[in-house]
Amino acid sequence: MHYFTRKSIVIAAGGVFFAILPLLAASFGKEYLVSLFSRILIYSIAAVSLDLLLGFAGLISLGHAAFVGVGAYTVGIFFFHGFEAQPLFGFIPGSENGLIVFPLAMLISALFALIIGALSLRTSGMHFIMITLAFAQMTYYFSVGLEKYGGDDGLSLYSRNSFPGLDLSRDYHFYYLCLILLFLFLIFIYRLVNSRFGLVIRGASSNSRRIQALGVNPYHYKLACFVIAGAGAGLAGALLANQTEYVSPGLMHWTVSGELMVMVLLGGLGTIFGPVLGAATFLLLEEFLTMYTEHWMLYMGPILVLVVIFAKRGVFGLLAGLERRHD
Amino acid sequence: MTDHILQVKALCKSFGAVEASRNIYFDVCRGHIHALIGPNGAGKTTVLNQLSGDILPDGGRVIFDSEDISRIKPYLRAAKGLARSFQITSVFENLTVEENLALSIICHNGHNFRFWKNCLKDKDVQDHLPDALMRVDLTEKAKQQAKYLSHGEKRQLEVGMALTGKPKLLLLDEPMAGQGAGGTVELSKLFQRLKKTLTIVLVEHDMDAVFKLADRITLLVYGEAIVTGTPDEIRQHPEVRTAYLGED
Amino acid sequence: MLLLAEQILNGLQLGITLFLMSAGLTLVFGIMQVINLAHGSFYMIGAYLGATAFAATGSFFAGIAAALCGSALAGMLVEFLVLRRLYYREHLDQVLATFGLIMFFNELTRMIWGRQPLFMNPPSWLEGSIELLPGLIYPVYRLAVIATGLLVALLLWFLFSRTRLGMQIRAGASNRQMIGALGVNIRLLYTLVFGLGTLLAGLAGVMAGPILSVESGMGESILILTFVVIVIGGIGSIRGAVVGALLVGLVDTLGRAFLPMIFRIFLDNAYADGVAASIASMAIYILMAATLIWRPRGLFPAHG
Repeated sequence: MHYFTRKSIVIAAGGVFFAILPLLAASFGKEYLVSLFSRILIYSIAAVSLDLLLGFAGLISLGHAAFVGVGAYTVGIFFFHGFEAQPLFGFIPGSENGLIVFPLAMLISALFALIIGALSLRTSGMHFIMITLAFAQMTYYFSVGLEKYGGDDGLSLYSRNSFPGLDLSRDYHFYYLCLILLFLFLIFIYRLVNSRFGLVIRGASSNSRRIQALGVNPYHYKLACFVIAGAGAGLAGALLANQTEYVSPGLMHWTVSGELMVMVLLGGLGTIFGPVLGAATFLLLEEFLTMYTEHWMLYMGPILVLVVIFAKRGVFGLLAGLERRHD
Repeated sequence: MTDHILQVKALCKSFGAVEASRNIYFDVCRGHIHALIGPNGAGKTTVLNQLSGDILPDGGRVIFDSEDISRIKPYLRAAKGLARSFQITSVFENLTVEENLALSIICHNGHNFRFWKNCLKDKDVQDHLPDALMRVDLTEKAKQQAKYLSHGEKRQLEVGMALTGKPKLLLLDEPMAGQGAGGTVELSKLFQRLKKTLTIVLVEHDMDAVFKLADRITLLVYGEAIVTGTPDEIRQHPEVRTAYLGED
Repeated sequence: MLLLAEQILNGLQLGITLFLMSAGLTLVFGIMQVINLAHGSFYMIGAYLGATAFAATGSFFAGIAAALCGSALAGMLVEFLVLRRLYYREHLDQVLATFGLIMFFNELTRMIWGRQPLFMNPPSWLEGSIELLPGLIYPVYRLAVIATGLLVALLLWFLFSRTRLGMQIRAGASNRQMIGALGVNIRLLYTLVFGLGTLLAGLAGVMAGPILSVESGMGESILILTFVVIVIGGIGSIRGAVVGALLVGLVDTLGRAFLPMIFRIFLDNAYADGVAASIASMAIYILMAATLIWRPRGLFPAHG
């Protein structure tokens, strides 16, 4: 076996970099980088979960931010009810315990994904893109209508969730929590893609007619994939709510879904690890361009168009020398 | 009483004004190689698609193993033991050869909601993959992505995939198309071997191969099944000479 | 009753705007098989150019002319530079590239016109209201928008059913292969169809100028409504666009106007307004979901 392929070196280098980043930041006296990179890690989780849909299942969902938002709102709402000591629906106690609300955030996002996916997957192609977008908008307006939780203005958390042995109010602790969760999520997705389930999913996206001739109804597999991706996005949402200590409908705005797609593409579609690089590239580019101009999107837009037309392998593909998975 | 694995009764299908299948009847005996022949546009592939379920007939019945399957979905027919290959080779281009075969193995063995274990290390796959690769002579190409295979190799892979399900009936759409002389001989041998364990219905243009290989032949002309019989009977049949062989 | 009549007119006016947007977009979807998120940008370009030209010259017709020319030219330029390269690519590439275009156009308008919204008044000869029925007073400008929209719909109907070009376009929308077989210059036809689509979007934009505020990002809210219209109507179908647009326009407007009243019957006022507003915003999406459960390819699927 080749353990020292270019791909594994890139992944290992990336892993080491993220592991020692807080030390680097501290030694250069740039502590704010820890918070920026926490954001990168969180968006990485969301982007990796979206890559499962875009790159492996061939499902072009333009509403992934909805599930990020649902995860974030779950954390926010439970925090609110815990803080006000007023049970949700009169009998569910609120909570600010991460071990409770994080799994809940994933579960509720998964549930949303189950409903939205079950309806959307009745369609395909362009219809699917527009339907997922429309459902995300619906979720967005739903959150705007939650007057009790701030409506349009959103909801502030007064502190981050508690985790045994961690003090999330310290940025380093929070950073490593994000890193560990991303790491676990990556392993899970890697195993998933190479499992029996993953093989069926990849087959269904490669040739839908052929997979039916093998006696498989792809609908259930696609739906399961959609639900898993939704849960991943919910996890990212829960972390995002903790980082900013604030949740608002803006998290679910459709441009966020678009940006997540951009991250996947920049990093490399269908590469599992690529979207991490994609999220880093996108957010760092945003940070960098805003230093020079407030009109950073004026440059980001054309960059994106050029990447789509000319460089579809993405950053990870360029570094790791991979070939594109899809034609 | 002959044992018929497949019976086609009064099959009809129109596309707009074009009647692609007109009241077609024929039976396929278990263990036979049964060929569908006919000039271009005779509706051979349309019939095959109605057998596999990719197209639903407007009328008539398809009876497989004494069960009416005329209106059920392709994946359910596949589960009942009816496998097919496509006229245009249809493999999973983005997967490797072994993944292609592994995929067809796992689709025929139990459920696939298994999320963790590597699919190539799965017990079903480990048990069957080496044989499946060997049967179609692709062991050396196992790690190659299917899109880089030659046309003949893709065809072999496709037949290999159809075989992993241990089907009772295999539908082949022009398996010899695009093969060199060597490929045709290889495939003919393969089909002869397969005949011992299953029934084959094939659509084929290569007449030499058909007359050597087939036990029975059905001639289709303009959507109608003119005659069904042994190769000798078909050769002698007057309508065959005018309708088809005359043109050849 | 008067309120209902007024709201129906409002719904009609929104529906007309949506029709202008979706007619172009559905053709681009149907013929080129391209998903174009940037369609809303041409609506915005039309609105900005129209408002600016109107303010500079004082002539509303100059504003409309600027909007139409500007959005059609911008559309054809974008087709020539970007979209042409994406026709045979995956939908994902199209989504991402056109998302990039949205970012570009939104920021460009922000740079040129600033972050503050522009306000555009109706021309003096369309100001004021008239009494349509005893007690039903309605702004003249909105009536003019409805009339213009109906006129354009009529022109489109004429184009598609009576002219050679229209036949070719329709043939292309329902059967892509056929159009090549007819010996049509496809590249030119694609550019023209795209330009026609963006021209209609520009018209919708400039007409909406005096009703809404003209601001960066105004294209996206209408774009998503347009998507809903197209999904309901069926991709590639003009007839579907007409029905879908009117349906969405009416459901959205009537929902926002009447749901609060209905909810107030059952709930206390403050609470009712919140719930009703939220459900009213979601109404069209619920309508879309229901349509799809019933007919996954829309009401009038163009591809057989």
